[in-house]
Amino acid sequence: MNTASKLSLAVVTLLAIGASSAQAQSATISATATVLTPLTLTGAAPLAFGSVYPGVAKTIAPGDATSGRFTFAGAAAAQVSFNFPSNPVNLTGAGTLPIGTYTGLHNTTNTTTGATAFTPGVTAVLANLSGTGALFLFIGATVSPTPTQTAGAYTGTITLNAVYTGS
Amino acid sequence: MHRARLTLLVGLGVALAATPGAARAQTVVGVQNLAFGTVIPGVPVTIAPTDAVRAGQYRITGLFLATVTVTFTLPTAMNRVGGGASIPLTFLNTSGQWDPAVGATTTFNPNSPYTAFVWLGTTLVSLGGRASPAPSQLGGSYTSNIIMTVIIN
Repeated sequence: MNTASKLSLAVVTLLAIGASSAQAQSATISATATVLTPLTLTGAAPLAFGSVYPGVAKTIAPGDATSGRFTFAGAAAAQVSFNFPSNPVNLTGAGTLPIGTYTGLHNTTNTTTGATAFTPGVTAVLANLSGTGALFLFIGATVSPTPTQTAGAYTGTITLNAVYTGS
Repeated sequence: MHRARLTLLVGLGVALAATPGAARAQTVVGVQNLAFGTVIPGVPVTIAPTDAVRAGQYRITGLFLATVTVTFTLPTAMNRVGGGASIPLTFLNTSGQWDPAVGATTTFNPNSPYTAFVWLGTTLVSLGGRASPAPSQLGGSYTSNIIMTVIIN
């Protein structure tokens, strides 16, 4: 074997030795997340028409004392989407008492001053919670008793759905 | 000149033998967490491995002409610090990214072992994932560990 062949063999051998073993190494990272406060809805006050006369429509405005109220509690400044999936709701009792179009206001404080108008219904409305995670809805409507409306108490359920949008 | 070339060849051989994949000082380190950030209850969040800010990252250094296989120990959920809740965590078949110093960046499935050849230099391995908080998810901080094991052949 000449010198060149010996040297070449040495190179190959050295490479083979160096590459012959295997080893394992590990490293760890974390998956992390911070979950915001879940969204909480509360029916704070009923939409109360009080006494109505047969044949005389009666309107409760969102800013009236007996308007319906909902409150939201959740993550600060988070955007929510809400709607009223079953509106319009007619009242029932000793018959049916029809309600016309609903009206609404929403605000980040518990007042109608400076509130934003919206139309309660199946169409989703977007709004942002306040810096403390609050939102207030004020609901009004017009009830239209017929001239022959049967006397008695009438009630209906107004359902509000809401979710975070993630924005 | 012939002897000089042979000497150079031997020298190169010795140098390579002293620094092949298994013998060099390789390091595998986690350099960045997989950070979902602020999560809204009921709103799933997906992070791509190409997300330079939020994707998890590992760095492999010290390899030279080595075939390596990476495997992950992937959690199925992140657990709430203090207990009481967890968030389901899933990894898509495109949640892994292999970014070598030499060669093309490729996407891989971190749910299975991934094998690649490393010429030299630093390889960055990135990991995305998907967190699916429930609508009633309890607020707080959530975390879990993700282990990457590198077998150097």
